[in-house]
Amino acid sequence: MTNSPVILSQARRPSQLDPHITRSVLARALDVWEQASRLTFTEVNSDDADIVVSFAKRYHDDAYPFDGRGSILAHAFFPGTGRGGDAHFDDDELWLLQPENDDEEGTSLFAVAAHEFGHSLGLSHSSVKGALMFPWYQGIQPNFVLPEDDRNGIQQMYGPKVKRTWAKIPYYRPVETPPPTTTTTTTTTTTTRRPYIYHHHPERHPNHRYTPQYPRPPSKPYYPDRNPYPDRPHYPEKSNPYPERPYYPERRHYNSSEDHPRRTHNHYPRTESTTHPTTSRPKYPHVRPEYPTHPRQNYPTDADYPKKKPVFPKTTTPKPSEKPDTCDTSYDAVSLIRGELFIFKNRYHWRIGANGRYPGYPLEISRMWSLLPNNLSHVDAVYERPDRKIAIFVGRELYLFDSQYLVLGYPKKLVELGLPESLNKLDAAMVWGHNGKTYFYSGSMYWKFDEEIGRVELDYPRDMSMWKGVGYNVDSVFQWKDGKTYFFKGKGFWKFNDLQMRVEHEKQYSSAQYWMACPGERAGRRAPFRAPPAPGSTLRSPSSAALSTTNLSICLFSLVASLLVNNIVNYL
Amino acid sequence: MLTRLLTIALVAASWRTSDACSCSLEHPQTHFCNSDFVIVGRVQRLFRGKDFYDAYKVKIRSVFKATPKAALALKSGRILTPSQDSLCGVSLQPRETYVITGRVMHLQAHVQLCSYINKWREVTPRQRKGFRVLYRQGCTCKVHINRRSTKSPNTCVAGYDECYERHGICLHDRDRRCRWTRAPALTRCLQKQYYNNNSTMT
Repeated sequence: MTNSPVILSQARRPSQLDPHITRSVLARALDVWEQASRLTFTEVNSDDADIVVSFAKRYHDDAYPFDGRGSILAHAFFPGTGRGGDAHFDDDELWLLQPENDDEEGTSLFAVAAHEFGHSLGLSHSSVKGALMFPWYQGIQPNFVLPEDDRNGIQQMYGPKVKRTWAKIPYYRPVETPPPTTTTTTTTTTTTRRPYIYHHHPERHPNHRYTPQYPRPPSKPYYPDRNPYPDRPHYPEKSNPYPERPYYPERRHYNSSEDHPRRTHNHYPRTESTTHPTTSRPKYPHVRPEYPTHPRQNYPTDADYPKKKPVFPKTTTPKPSEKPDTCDTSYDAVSLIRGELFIFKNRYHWRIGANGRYPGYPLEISRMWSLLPNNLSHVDAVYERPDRKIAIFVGRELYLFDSQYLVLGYPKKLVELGLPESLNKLDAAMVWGHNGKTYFYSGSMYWKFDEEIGRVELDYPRDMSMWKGVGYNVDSVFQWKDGKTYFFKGKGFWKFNDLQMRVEHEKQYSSAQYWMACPGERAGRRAPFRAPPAPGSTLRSPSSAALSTTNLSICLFSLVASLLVNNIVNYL
Repeated sequence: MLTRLLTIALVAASWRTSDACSCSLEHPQTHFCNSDFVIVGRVQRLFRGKDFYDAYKVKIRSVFKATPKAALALKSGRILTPSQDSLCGVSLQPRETYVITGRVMHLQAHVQLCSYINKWREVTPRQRKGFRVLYRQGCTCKVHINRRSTKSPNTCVAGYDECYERHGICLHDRDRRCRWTRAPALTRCLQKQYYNNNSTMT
C-alpha cells in the first residue's frame, strides 16, 4: 500500500500556548487530511520536514510579515523544496486550542491549521462557502467533518483512502469487460454515507489490486452474501466462499469502477470479475422489469419504452484497442520527471512514484499536459531537461512544458534544433547520467544536443553502434534515479553500462514485470533482475522499509557516481 | 517525497492564481477602522514585480480615509500586493472599480487578501454610506462577526449573520452603548432570513 509520510516539525514554538496541546491540535488538523486521503503523516523534530510549522510575529523569515492581531491569521507555502509546504501562524493572534463555543474571543487553531495544511499539501482556496479551504475563517463546529468540497480536492490529488482514484476513470482490469448484453442499468440507489471509519488493512492487502473482492451491497436489504462484519479478515483469492453464487447481471454496476461517484469508502471491496467467467450467461435469465436491459423483441408499441437506444458504456469509453494493456505492451517513451517515472504509450501514460505504480493509471496524457495537440495519437520521446522543463517530442515537433504550461515559442520544429529535414520523428531522448548531456535517438543515428545553444552538436549524427547491444530503432531511453541508463525496445529493456559502453545483459528483461510490477511467469521464484531501487518491488514490500532502502541506495549511488565522475573524461 | 509533492502540485490546476493564507472574517467597519487607507479606484493595469510583489496601477476616484503616510504613498497610484506564487496576494481585474482598504509599509500602499477589497458595484448602498461617513463614527465600537453574544457595551455582535455585514453599521446610541443602527435594508434582510430559517426548519 502506498504511504506518503509527510513530516511535521515545529520549528518555533508558540509563545502563549501549551506546546503539548498545540502539538496534539496540529496532529488533529493533519488527521483531517489523513482520514480523507492516502496520505500518512509522521511527526519529527527536524528542519528537514516537509511541513515545518512555526509561530511568528510580524517580520519573520519570509517576505510576508504578519500584521498583528486580526486580519492575517496564518499562511502556508505550496509544496516545493526549501520552505515549500511550511505553515506559519501569526503568534499575535489569540489562538484557541479547545474552543468550546463561539462566544469566546479568538480563533480556533484547529480550523486554521487544517486550512493551512491544506495549502501545504497543494490545495488552493475554495470559493465554496463552508468549505475548509474557503479563505475566510468561519469558526468551527465541535464535531468537525471534512466538507465535501475539500474532500474532493484532496482525493483528486492524492487519491482516497481506499486505493482508487476519482470515480469516473475506469481503471485497468485484467479481464476484458463483459459483453454489452448485460449492460449496466442506471441505478438510482443512493448510498448513505457512513462516518469516517476506515477498515483498512494494508498489511493484509500487500497488493490491493489482486485481492478477492465482494460486491459492495447497494442499500437494498436482501443480499444473502452481505458481509455483516466488515472487520472480518478478507478471504484470499482462491477460496471463493460462494463459488456457485447466482450471478445477477444488475450487480455488475457495482463491480465496475463506475460506481457511485460520491462513494468515499470501501468496506466491501468489489468483486474482480475473475471469480466469475463474465462471458457466461447469467444462470437466472429473468430480468427485473424495472430495469429493462435489452429492448424486448416482440413487444407491441411500447410507449414507455425509451425511443433512444440505451447507451452502452462501450460506446462512451475509448476503444479498448487504444488503451494499452499495462502488463503487455511496448512503450513509446519513458522518462523520469520530478523523480517520478512516467511511461507513455499511445494516448495514455502511467506514473510510478516512490511507492510503486499509481492506481487508476493509465490515464490520458492530455490530463497532465492539456496543451498537447488534440488529435495526439502518441508521443515519440519525453525527457526532463536539466532546468526541469519537460520536453515532449511529437512527430516533427517539440513541445516544451514548464510543469504543465507550454513555454512561449513552442512547439518548435525539429529542424530548428539542427536535426535534419528528412527526420520524421525521434525514437528517444534522454539526459545521459554519465555526462549530464542530452542525447536524441532516431533509427540508426543518435545526436548529442547542446542545451546551451539549443541545437545539436555539429559532428553528429553518429551511428548507434556506439551503444553496444541495443541495436537500432530503440523505443525509448531514460536515466533512472540510480543514474543508470535503460534502453527499451518492444516489451523488454536493457540496463546499460556507461563505463563499458555496452548492455549489462544481452537478453532483454521484461519491462512489465520490472517496471510495472506485473506478476511474471517466474514471479515467485527469483526476481529476474536485482537492483535496489526497483520501483515495482516496493509494491510488495512494506513501504517504509522500501523507502529507507531507496534513499540509502540513492545516497550510495550518488556518492559512487560523484567519485566516478571525477575520473572520467568525457570522451563522447 | 518533496518531489512527489511537487509533481502533485503540478497537477493542481490553480497553482498560479492561488494564494495561501487564512484571514479572520471581519466586518467592513472593522476593516475601515483598522486600515491605513480606504479608497475607491479603478484598476488600470498590473505590473508584474520581479521578486515578491506585484503592483496595480490604480486611478483613485475618491479617498475615504488616509493617514498622512498613506496619502503620500497613494500619490504614486501604485498599490502592491504579494505576487502570484506567494502568499495572501489578491488578483484584481483591470478596468474594474474597487473599494480597497489597505496598509502602508515602507511608504508603500499594500493590499492583501485579508483586507477588504470588493467591486464597487457589489457594495451595498448601506455599506457605501458607511464608507463615506458612518463607519468612521463607529470606530470606537468593536464589531464581532464570529461571536454570538457579548457583555461589553462597546461591542456589536453579528453572530455569523451576513445581513449585518451587508447592511449593518455599529454606532453609539444616546446611552453611549454600541448598537447596530436601524436601517430598512437591515430589517428587511433579517426578516427574510428569519422567515427562511423557520421555513427550512419545518
